[in-house]
Amino acid sequence: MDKNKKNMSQLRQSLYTFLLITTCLIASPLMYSKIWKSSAEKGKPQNIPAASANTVTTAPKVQETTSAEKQEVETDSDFGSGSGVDMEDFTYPHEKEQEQEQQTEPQTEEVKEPEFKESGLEYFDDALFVGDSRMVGMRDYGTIPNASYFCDIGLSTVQLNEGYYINGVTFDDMLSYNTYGKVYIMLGINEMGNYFENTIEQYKMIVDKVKAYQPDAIIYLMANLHVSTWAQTEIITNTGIDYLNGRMAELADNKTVFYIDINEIFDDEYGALRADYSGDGIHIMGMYFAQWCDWVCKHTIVPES
Amino acid sequence: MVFSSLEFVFIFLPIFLGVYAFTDRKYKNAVIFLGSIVFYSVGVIENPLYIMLFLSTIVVNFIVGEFIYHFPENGKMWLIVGLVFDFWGLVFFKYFGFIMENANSLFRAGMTVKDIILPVGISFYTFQNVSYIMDVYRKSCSSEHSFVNYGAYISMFPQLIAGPIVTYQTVSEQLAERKHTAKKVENGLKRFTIGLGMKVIIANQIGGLWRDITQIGFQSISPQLAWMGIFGYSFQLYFDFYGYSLMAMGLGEIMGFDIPQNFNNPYISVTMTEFWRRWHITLGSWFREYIYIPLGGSREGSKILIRNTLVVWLFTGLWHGASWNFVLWGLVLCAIILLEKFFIGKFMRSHRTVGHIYMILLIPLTWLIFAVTDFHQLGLYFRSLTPFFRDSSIVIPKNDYVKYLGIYGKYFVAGTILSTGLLDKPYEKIKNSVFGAFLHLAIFWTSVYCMYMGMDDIFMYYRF
Repeated sequence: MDKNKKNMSQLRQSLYTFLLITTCLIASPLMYSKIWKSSAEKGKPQNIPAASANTVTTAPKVQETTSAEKQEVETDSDFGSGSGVDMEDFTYPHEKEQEQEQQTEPQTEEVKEPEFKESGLEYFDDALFVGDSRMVGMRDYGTIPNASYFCDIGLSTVQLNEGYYINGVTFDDMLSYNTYGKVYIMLGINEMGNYFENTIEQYKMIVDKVKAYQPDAIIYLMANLHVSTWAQTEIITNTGIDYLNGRMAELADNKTVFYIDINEIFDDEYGALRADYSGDGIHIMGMYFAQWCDWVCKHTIVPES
Repeated sequence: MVFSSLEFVFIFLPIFLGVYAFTDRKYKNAVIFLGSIVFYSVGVIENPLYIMLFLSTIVVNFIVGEFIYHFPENGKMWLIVGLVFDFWGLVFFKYFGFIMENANSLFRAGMTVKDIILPVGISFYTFQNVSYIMDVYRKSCSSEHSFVNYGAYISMFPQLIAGPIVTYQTVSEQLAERKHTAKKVENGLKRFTIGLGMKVIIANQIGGLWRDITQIGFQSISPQLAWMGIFGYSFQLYFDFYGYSLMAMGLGEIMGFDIPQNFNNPYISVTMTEFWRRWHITLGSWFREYIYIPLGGSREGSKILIRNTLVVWLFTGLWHGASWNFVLWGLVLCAIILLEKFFIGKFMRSHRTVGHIYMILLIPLTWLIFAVTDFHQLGLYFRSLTPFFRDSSIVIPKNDYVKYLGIYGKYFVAGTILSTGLLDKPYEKIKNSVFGAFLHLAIFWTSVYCMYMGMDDIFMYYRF
């Protein structure tokens, strides 16, 4: 024990008592009640877009060519409270172009709704599935083992076009050495921080390439799977994914190129990937790829012969 | 702010150390106090009230300590005031939701349950505050008369967020006077670097396996992959927390403090009892010192010993989180430890090979209960560990583990070597040589590279 124990002065004693009483009996209860009030109720999501936010008609910001603006878009992406304000007023270059196109060009022939049918596994004997980690999951955990797969974690459209190697072969090799009746493509989530228009351009190149190598193949553009609400980031949002998917859908001619959207079976009420179907909010768990594959089987185009 | 982040390593730390080095000895504690508040504020930036709350715990415990010391006749009352204040905070943030949820489901009470964000470090600083007022009450140390010194002790950023839980007694002299030498700074930097490497180069990387498995879903993994997963998790947890503790020690050393060891090669233990003397040592000591011994320890017969062990392990479980899996985890550990105490402990200690095999199987299994908070998921994982109880309709890719062995195999090798203590002696020999300097530089820059590439993760113990 302290041998030089000094008595506490009266002043100090009063000060301490005052501080203790104010902290314990006034400040602290006030703080606790404030924290209690400002905390969200369990089970109710806070600071996430409501269902309507995912159906916002405006698209996420699309970049011009400069990298400075690219930076801005990456940090200024769209969901959450507050940041959505300027989205309403924002018009994008491509939208202007689209508007102009719509005004000047006469409507071309109407695109017919595709007629999807159910097919058995044999339908996929000559099918090629191209994609990123979500497709890797389908390859490893899905129920279509007879198909061919060209997929890798993190794969992007740019990589695919630039000759990305998987097990020693490129996409071009696959197309030139084999004959495919169906080619399924699901890409884009890994390049969402980049220039959207570029992804679409790359998609066009992929479609053209498949058409050139495999003129008889049916091409399926598969919508990018949504992410769970909690897994959204500044860059990857379901609004952004919807926008990208929408642009991909425009590439479908419903003759040889079709757009199919798997999200209808994995979405929750907010238009996000069901949280209980996913461990990380981005990929569905292994066991659900059976449902995925069933759905793909039910959405096939069978050419009339 | 996370130690293994570029902002901490390249912005906060250099500025702090610069100011600290050039400040007069008299004001160094004030610099620590202020710097730590800045450090803490960055961590709770979205809830600024938490800074006030944290400061209020310092004020209250400081005053309570002084009152207990100066007015021992009312010591018990002041101690109770302090304990109620401290534990109320912990209960409110950590256990309130859990209690209400269970009350609701038991009594259909329909009370509002809220998701209250846990202030980082609350479990750690509360335990330090409590240890202080308890020690002053038990007269094992005198109270701290300087508010700045007490503030520096509680808030000291190296150990604020995730320990080690330093008792006031161990640092009281150092708070008043400590030596700052170039050797200490050098040693501290080295320790910090090794800790950083363990966290960033091993824990974060091997942690990818657990992430992958969670993503695949526990139903869809082969038994081999399931075992790999829990071994991987065991390495991840160890290098994450040990790495953090080393960084804390290193930072303390740079500032002239001797912060106690928190780990002593736990994975080479032959019994669970030994394991918990080597793992998170300062937490174990806290429970022993402030719960187990006051309850009578092991001196009052078997019944009391069983009761005390149960209490300690229930609290240890709940300390790690307000969830039933932590209760189960604590109970399982308690059962194992009692089993060792009364039956198999002696055998394991004398047959060390059997002991090692026993622990190699048991450690990952107990960490599994720790890792998976949902009982349904936990059941699925246990079923995946053998081929007998799984749902055979679910597709499991053949040899899935080969793929993951390819990705994570190297971290398993490194983890095994580093967690057995085989390199401890060689490291001591080379650490001051030229080669040692290169080694530390290489570890540092590899870690920085990993952090820069975004291969970073927050510390697992931040959530406790």
